[in-house]
Amino acid sequence: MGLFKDKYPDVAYEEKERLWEAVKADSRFPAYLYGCYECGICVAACPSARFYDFSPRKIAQAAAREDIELLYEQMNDDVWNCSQCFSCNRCPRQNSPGGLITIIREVSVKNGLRSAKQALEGYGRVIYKIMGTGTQVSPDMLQPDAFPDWGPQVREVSAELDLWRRALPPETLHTTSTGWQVDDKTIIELYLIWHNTGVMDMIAEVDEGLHMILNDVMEEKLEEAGYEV
Amino acid sequence: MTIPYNAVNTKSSRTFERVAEYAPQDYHEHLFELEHEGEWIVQRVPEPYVEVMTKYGRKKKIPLELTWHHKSCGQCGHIPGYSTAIFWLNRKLNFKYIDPTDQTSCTAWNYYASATSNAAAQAGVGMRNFAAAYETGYFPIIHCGTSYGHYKEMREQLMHHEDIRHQVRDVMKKLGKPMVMPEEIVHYSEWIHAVRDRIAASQKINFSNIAVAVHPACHYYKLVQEDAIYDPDIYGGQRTATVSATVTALGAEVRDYSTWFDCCGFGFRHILVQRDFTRSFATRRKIEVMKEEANPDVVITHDTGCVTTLDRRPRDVRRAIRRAGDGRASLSRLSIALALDRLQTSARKNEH
Ligand code: SF4
Ligand code: SF4
Repeated sequence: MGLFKDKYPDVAYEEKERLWEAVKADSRFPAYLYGCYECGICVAACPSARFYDFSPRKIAQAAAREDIELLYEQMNDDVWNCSQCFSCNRCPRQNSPGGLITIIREVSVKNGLRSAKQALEGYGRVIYKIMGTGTQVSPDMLQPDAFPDWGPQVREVSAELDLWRRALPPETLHTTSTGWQVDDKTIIELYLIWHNTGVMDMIAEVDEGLHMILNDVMEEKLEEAGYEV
Repeated sequence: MTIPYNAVNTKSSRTFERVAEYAPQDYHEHLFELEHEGEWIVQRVPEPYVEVMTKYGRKKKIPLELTWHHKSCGQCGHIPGYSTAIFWLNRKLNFKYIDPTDQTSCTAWNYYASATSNAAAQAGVGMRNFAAAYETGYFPIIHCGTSYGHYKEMREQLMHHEDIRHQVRDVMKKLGKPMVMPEEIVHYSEWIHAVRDRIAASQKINFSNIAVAVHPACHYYKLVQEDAIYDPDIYGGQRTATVSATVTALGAEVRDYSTWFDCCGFGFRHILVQRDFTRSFATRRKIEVMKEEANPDVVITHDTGCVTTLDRRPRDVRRAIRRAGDGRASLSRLSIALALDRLQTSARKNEH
């Protein structure tokens, strides 16, 4: 039993333990956690700790103690607050609480946890863009209704986007639906990477609809190029 | 109690020496061993190169030309002046380079935001890009700080975890591409650092009356820290020298502020779908503090995410300046801008 009240008593201890074992099984894990001095240096450097009820120290401690129940709570309630800035890498124990959080998030996505789905709500179109086109921020994503707080130039630029882009000296940037011009052959290779490393299965766990759309787009291109999916 | 920032800005007579025993082992030995064992090809830094000093004193080779420009999602997507300026500088310096179309994003922005990927997939994407560079004979130079940090992490993982390395090797085989690891992973700001004196030699505008606050990029110097550039003449070697050394070489004054180590609040996921956090952090921990403690004419950020966070929020910037400033302050007094955009504009004006 952990030191804290179990916030998720309805989830079986064995399930929580299984998820924690999956975190520990990641080959990066040993280099991210060597124990914890409980010094709080990571918290002092952490931007998310300033604005959320969040502490990399608590996560490192729970991991070092293997407090299964608390770790499950953190997997659901805390890890998505992390900014992934790695300021906590200044840890005197050589830990990387941010790296540990990367692994915990990955396990939570792989296992389709509801909290992961919630954290990624509204984010699907970004995943679609990066996995489907190979560039994450396309100029046409920056529309005034999606980014009202980015100032008046978002409206001005988006109104004449194609013209603005064609005015740029590098020809590779004369694009509106991708950040830069990417070869078809390059995209095919990217799709093969997603398909051969289990990423498509991860997407299916958190967003079935997105998985279906991505799969359709990729299958068509891969088949055209002579690959069987 | 307010922070005694005058003390921060006062030069101490004490000198700082980094303890060599804490220096991580130079990764090159392992890198070449793996090449010897046939695990990968190491792409050598082409000559001519400049040697710069990293955190624990190791010399890092920065190629001057024959560079393959690994572009950045954020830069190309909404701050295209960034890559445009890097290419412009290369042409001004008569350096050969390639702006490739056989390049994808490193996809790390998405990975750090959503975790909808894994170590092998991320390494696969990186190694595909490195192989594409190798096939051209040009050496990769990375425009984005996150790609740079992520690729250095990827290199560590591939060197130390056979399981990941072999998984990636199998994928690369399917793509018909070789496993290639560059001898050095180089960020564009390191290239700027290496050519800063050449840039200064063609300088047309005097910056001596410009005060600058610098925001160094987290993923540049907090990930695989031993590989970032440090210089005893810049902050006594206690902070990364990239950006600050360039600003100094161009004759501007670098002003210090107490929250220099803080990130900008980008947050990867937050900047896209939870911007209140980003806005609060950037305003309270960076802009207001810079204004109050350094009162710069310009803030020079180091990288894509930082300039996105600090620049793309003008209403907040104005409000922050009003709160922190002396009433005379205006947006132009603290214009959050990118050094290269500025330099390019200035130089263009002079050309015409
Ligand atoms: S990586 Fe996450 S835990 Fe570490 S300092 Fe940044 S926000 Fe905090
Ligand atoms: S993770 Fe590191 S910095 Fe954070 S409390 Fe533990 S020892 Fe200290």
